[in-house]
Amino acid sequence: MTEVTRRATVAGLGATLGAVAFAKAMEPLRHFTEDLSLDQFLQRHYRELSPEDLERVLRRIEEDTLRERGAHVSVADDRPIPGVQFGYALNLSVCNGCRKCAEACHHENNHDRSTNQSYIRVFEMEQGSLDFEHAATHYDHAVPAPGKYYMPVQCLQCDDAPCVAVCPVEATWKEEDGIVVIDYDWCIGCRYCEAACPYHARRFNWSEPEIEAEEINPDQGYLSNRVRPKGVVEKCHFCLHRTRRGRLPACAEACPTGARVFGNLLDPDSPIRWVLDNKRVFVLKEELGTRPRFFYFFD
Amino acid sequence: MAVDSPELKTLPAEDSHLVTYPRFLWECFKISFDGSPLFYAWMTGLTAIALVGVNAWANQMAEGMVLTNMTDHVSWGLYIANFTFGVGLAAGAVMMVIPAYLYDDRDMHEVVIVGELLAIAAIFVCLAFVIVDMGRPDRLWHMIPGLGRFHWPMSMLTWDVIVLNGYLLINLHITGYMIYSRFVGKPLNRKWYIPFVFVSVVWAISIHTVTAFLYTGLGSRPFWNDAIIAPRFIASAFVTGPAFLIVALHAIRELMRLAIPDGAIDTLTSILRVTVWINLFLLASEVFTQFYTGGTHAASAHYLYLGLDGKSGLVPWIWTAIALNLCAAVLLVLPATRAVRGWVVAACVFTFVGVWIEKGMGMVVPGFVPSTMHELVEYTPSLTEWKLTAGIWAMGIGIFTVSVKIAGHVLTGRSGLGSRRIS
Amino acid sequence: MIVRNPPSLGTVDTGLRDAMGASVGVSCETCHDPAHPDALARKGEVPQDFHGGISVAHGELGCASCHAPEDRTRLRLADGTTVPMREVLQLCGQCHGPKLRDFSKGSHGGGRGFWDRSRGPWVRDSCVACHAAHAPAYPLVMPAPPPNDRFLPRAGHEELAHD
Repeated sequence: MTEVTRRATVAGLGATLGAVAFAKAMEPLRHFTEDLSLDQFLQRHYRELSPEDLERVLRRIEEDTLRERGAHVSVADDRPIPGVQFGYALNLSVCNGCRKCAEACHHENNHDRSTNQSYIRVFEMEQGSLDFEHAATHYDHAVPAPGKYYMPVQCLQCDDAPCVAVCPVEATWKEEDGIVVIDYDWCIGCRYCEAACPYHARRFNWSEPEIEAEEINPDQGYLSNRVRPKGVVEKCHFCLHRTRRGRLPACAEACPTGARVFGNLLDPDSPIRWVLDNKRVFVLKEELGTRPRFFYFFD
Repeated sequence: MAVDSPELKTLPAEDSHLVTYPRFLWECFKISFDGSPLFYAWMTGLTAIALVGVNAWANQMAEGMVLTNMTDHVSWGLYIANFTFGVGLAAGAVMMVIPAYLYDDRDMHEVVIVGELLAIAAIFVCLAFVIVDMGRPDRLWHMIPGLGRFHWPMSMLTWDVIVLNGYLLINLHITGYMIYSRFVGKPLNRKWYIPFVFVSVVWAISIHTVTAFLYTGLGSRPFWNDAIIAPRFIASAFVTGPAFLIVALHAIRELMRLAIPDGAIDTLTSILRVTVWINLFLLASEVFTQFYTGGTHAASAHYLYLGLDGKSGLVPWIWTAIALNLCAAVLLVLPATRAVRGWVVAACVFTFVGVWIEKGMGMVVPGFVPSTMHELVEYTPSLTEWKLTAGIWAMGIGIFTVSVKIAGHVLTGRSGLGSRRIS
Repeated sequence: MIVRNPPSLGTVDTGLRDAMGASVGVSCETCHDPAHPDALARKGEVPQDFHGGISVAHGELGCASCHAPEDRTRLRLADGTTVPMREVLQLCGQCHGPKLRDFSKGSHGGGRGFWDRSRGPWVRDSCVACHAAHAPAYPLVMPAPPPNDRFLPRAGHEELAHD
């Protein structure tokens, strides 16, 4: 009997020690669960939210942003405009690589400051070649440099997007006006879409974004530029909180050389239609069959 | 460990399952926590490592995935590499099931349950790696069909969820049914496990094929967009499964003092002897196709085997893997070593590690280097990633140890309702 | 669409700054009597005094190529008719026809505001806002800072590759 009691005691001690060690090991998780409300946890997919639910979600996001970041923001739900299909063209003969578009995106979309994150990456290419292998993204000299041309790349809002196909929870999908959007509150952060995208267009929030309250752009959209939580994927959304209200996206406005042409493909008088009809446009990696909405041309 | 020994057939099972099943679970619990000092030391060590992993994960959840060394350029790393390898290991269990049931190998039949238990432990390891790789594991419920939104059949990840969980359930059923039946002293009803066994053979192939299809379907990454990846995965599964099982069977024989027939180990060794060479052949085929054609599409292969633009972080890894696999392949055919236990075990360890490198880091990471826009960003795992990886493998080995112990106790009659009445 | 000319159009830079820090420009008729103008400088010569250091680097053009000799506030088209300074686009378009066409269709020159004109205006800059009329070549600029990627060194900062 003493053998059994001794074993039982040792076992009991071991179990207690194990439980304590487990609790200690899990301790940092407390910070994670603190920020997670039950409402947030149970929130349904954007497409399943009733108008009242969506209102509640938008207000909650505004309250959370105020509480966590000290910034007053307004988050809207901008729906696609009927009769609109967005298209974008970029004049490679005119782009001078100044990165003002990337900078504007950074400010408009409330990106993390420390990484100087942007949805746009500008590639400095060798003239005469479309080979990205010898391109540079971190050039830091006066532009345009001799013998180079510049190619900004952002999400091309593909009509047959690989990222949409691979998402296991349908957190990303193509809307009626052509924009491929992400429900940041539904994304599980598996990054399969990031692996699938042929254009390096998607970004993952590896940490909580750092932005000062006064730098936060308060004019926000649920599917676009509200401050994203860590652990989810994001990408260019053609500034839908602007474009679905008729405005130009931030990158198009910021471009000082006028290389960017944005508009409604269904409007025969739009600049984008004129470009597609009159300029020799091409798309990146056409052979993959992604059918982008973003076109490039030389003048 | 024969499951249908004659003496137990005479003991009737009187109590209903509502009584006996909880008793069975309690017995399992007791077996898990009671053993020799070596067992205690082993399990304590594994638990300690697992807890280090748990803590690393808690930190990762609190601070974000920035604690890993993954970036937007290399967005999958050590976790998914281990997941991919783990799926192969789980599928490799079928290398015991096929001889035991399709070829009526009597010796293998005695110990086939070890393979099925390996499959279970490996699937748990895979599921753990997927969960720790997710940015938002609190949103796991989003994947549950009906409750969340399950993007089936378009997303290959949903197929993977189905086949992996299905494989886990099949193996839990088969092993659970066998062990529980033995525990209560009921004879096995073949219709409750034989069909599942045959399904599990096909299903095992499917889990690794679906996992391969995760990669091969992506046109954005030419290193993966290659039909040979699926057969390579299967070939390496048929290497790692037998390699692990040979070592495990030796360990079970020595440390758990359970009778393991030589025939089972010999069959596995014969299988391994061939599959290591098939694995090498498929690797060679891949290397030829990449390098003969050349061009930008071969940039990832170039980075992996030879380095690219002065960056060569993975080169030592892959060549070590190839050397290890070759070593193992040779050891298993040379007359002086092919039947010597020590050398065979060494070959198993070599090829296990070799395939871990080649199918893990050597397959996942090069797909991201260079990126789809041809930027070259390298990746070496961070301390957090190593801790989590060690923790999850420790958990898996712990599950395997405990489940084999339970199977051993119950199937030899040491534990069970019958044995209770006798003692 | 609304096309805006730069405020400096039709003025000469005095080099002075106002209270807000903006350059102070002086319009041509401050010194030149529109009815009795001085002769334009010959090709190759550039007036230096009082003209804000104008340097002409516009192909083979001279002053009389664009400026109406009899009126400093107007520009001269190829057929001899003159247009006010604010209609400078017409003049540019004479030689740079395709570019003006591209501009009017929206594929050159950019703009700010709305793509949907039913909701708001599209405000654009005239040619001379970006291309200084006397030296139209687009200047070199320093780009906005590059992304700060982990493990991707910035150009010239390879030593910062591992953080």
